[in-house]
Amino acid sequence: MSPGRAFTRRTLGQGRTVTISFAVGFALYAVANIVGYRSTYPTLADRRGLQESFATTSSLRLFYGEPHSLLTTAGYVEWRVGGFLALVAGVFGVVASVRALRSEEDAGRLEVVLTGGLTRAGGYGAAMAGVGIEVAVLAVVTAVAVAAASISVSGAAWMGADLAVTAAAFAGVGAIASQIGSSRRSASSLASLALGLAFALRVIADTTSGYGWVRWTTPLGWAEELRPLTAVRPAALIPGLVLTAALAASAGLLAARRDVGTGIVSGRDTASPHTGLLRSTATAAVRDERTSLTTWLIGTGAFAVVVGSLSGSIAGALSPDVRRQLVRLGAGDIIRPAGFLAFYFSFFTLAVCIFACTQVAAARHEEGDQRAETLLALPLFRLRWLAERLAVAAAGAMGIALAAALGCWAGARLNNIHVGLGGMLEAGANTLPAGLLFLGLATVLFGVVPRASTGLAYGLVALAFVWDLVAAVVNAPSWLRTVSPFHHLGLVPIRAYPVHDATIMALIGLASLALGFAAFRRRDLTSA
Amino acid sequence: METGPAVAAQGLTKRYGATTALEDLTLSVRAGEVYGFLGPNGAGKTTTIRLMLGLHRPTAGSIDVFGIDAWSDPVAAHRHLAYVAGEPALWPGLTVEETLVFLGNLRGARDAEYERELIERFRLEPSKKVRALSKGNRQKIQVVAAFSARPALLVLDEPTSGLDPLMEVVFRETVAEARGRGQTVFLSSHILSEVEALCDRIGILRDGRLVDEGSLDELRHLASRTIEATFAGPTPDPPRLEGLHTERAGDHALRFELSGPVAPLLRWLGDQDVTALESREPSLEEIFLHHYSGAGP
Repeated sequence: MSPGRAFTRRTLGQGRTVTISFAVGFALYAVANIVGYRSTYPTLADRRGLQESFATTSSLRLFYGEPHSLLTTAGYVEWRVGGFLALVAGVFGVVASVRALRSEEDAGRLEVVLTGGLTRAGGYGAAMAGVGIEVAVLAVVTAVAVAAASISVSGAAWMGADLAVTAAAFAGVGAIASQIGSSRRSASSLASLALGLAFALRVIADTTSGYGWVRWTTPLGWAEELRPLTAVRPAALIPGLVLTAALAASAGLLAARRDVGTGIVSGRDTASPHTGLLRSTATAAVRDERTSLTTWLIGTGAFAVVVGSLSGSIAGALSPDVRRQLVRLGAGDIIRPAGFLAFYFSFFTLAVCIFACTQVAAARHEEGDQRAETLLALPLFRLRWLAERLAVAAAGAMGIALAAALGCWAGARLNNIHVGLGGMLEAGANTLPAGLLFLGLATVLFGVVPRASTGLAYGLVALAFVWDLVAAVVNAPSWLRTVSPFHHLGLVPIRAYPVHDATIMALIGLASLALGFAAFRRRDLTSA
Repeated sequence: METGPAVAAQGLTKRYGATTALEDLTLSVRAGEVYGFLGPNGAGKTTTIRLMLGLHRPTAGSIDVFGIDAWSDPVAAHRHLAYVAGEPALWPGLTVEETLVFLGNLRGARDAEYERELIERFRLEPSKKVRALSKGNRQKIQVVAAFSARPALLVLDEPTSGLDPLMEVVFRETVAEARGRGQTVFLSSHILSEVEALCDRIGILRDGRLVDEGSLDELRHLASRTIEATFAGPTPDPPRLEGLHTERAGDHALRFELSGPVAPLLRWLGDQDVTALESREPSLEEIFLHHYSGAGP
C-alpha cells in the first residue's frame, strides 16, 4: 500500500465513530420527518393549514430556512430536513477536517507520517482524501435513507449532493483554520466562528424581507437555493464546489509551505508569568478553557438575542382563523412570544448538554495525552482532579443557561415584546437537569470505556435530541417516546416547571456521576 | 526518618488483557540507596512505575511506598515521592516558570531557592512556553520540579532519554547530590553505563520478570568487555581462557566477550597478525543474550 493510501485509511479509521454517528443521525432524522409528515398531514387541507400557520414564521426559518412548498412531502422534506441538515453538515465538515489535520499535527503524528515517504502536500492530500470519503459516506447514507422513504431517487441524489457540497465547503474552512491556528482548539474556534457567520447570514436572508439576496453570500444559503426536491437548480452547486476547491487548494499550499507543528498565526513563544489561576486544577482548567468558555457564552447569548427579537413574529403572521385552529389543537400557547421562546429553549438545552460533554471530553483528552499522569503522580487524589474538572463544567453550564435566558429577554425587550425576566430565568434553569444528566452519563462512559467515551457521549446527546424530534411524528409507542430526556423539558415558562421530571433527571445524573467516579477510581489511567 | 524499605513489591503482577506486562515481581529498595532498574524496551519498567504510582491497578500482589499501599492510598504515598516521566506530558500554553509554579502549588511544598539553582544548572529559560521546547527541555522541567520538591523518593523513568551529554553530566551530579542528602532514587533505564555510574544496587528486568538483582560487585559479569579483532588472514583458532566467550564476526574477525582478566587475551592477540582492534562495553542486548537468554518464559 502506498504511504498516502495508508494515511487516508488511518484518517478514516480515526474518524469512524464520528462519521457513523452523524450518518445514522442524518438517516434517522430524514426518514422520521418524511414518515411523520405523511401521517400528520395526510390531506391537502392539512398541508395548507401547515403552510399558512406557524411553519412560515421567522422563528422557524432560523433553523430550517425558507420553505418553498409545504403541500408535498418533497417540499416539506427539502425545507425541514435539508435546511436543518445543511447546518449540521457544516458542523460535520469542520469537525472532520480539523480532526484529520490539526489534531494529528498536535499529537506529533503528522511528523512521523511526513518522515515516512510522504511530502507535506502528499500528507495533506491524503488526510483530505479521507475527509472527502467521510463526507461522501454521510451524503450517500442520507440520500439512500431519503430515497428509501419513497422520495424520488433523483431528488434524493440531489439532496445528497447538496449536503456533500455543504459539508465539503466547511471541511475546506476547517482545513484553512487548521493551517492558521497553532492548536486543535484555536483551529476549531476559528472554523466555528466562520460557520457561525455563515449561519447568521442565512438567518438574515431568511428572516428579513428584502434581504433574500444575502442567501448567495453563504454556503448555507447555496444549500437552500439548490432546492433539491422541488425545483432543482444545479447551478447552485457551483459556488460551493468552487469555494471547496479554492479553500482546499489554498490550505494545501499553506500546508506545503509552513513548518510542521506550527500555525501561520503562532502565538509568542515566551510570556511573562501569570500564575493567579494556577493554584488548583479547577482554576487551571478555567484558564485552559477560557477561550472556549467565552466563545460558548457569547455564541449562546448572541443567538438568544436573535431568537428573543424574533419571538414576536409568530403571532402577527397568523390569520385569526389559523389561530383559532391552533388553540383548538392545544397548541395555542406557542403563538405567544413566551410560548415560542419556551419551545426554543430545547435548543439551548441541547447546547448545555453538548457543553457538558465537551468538558468530560477535555478531561479525557488530558488523560489521553498523559498530562493527567503528571498531575496524579503528585499528592492529588484522582477523584478530586475529576471533581474539580466537572465543577468547572457545571459552572460553565450554568453560565450558558444564564446567557440564554438573559439574551432571550434582552432580545425581546429590544423589540418591545413583553416576556418576563423571571420566566426566562426559569426556562434557563430548566436546561440544567438535562445538562446534569448528560454530564453524569458522559462521566460513566469516561469511567468505564475511556477510549470510546467522547464519541459515545456526543452520539448519545445527538440521538436523544433527534429521537425527541421524530418520536412523536413516527407514532412511536408512548414509553419509547419518553426515553429521551428532551421529552421531559416541558414548555417553561408558559407551563409549570416540570419539577417531577427535572428531579428524576437530576437524580439519574447524580447517580451516574457517582457510578462514573467509582469506575474511574478502580481503573488504570488509559492513554489515547 | 522512615525506617522500612522505600519501595517494596510483593508478587506484583500486571496483565493487560492477554498480555502479561509484569509477572510476580518481588523487590525491595532500601531507603537512601540509588536503585537502578535495568531492562530493554518493553521489559515492564514503566508498568512497574505506574503501579508504584498507583496509576494502574495490580492484577495480583502489591507495591508499597514507605509502607503505604500505592493503589489504595496514592495521595499519602505521593507525599513522599516525586516522579519524572520518560515522555514528559505538560501544558503547551504554560511557560517554564508557570509550569513549575503550578506543579509546586499542587504539591504544596517546594524549595524555591534550590529550584532557582536547578533552573540555572539545567539552563532553562523561565519565560519560554512549553510548546516551544524540545523533548529534552521539557524533561528538564520535570527534573527541576521533582528535585526541588526534595521528596524522600525520586522515581525517574528513563530521565536522560532526551538530554544531551552535557546535561547528562549535570543530571548525574544532581542525582549524586540527592543521594548525599539521604534521598532514595529509583532510576529506570536501558542504558548500562548510566546505571553503572549512579546506582548502588541494580535490578534486571526481562519480559516482565526480575532475572537478577544485586550490587555492582555482585553483578561483575555486567562489567565485561567486548573486544573485536580483525585479522589479515583467515581467523585463527581462538584461545581457551577463563571467562572468555568467543564468536565469529565475519570472515576475518572474531568477537570476544571477556569477564576475566584482559592480559592473557592481549598476549595471545600479540602473536597474531591483527589489523584492527576494537574494545567496548557490551550493549544491554548482548548481556541479555549471553547471561539471561534462558531466563525468559
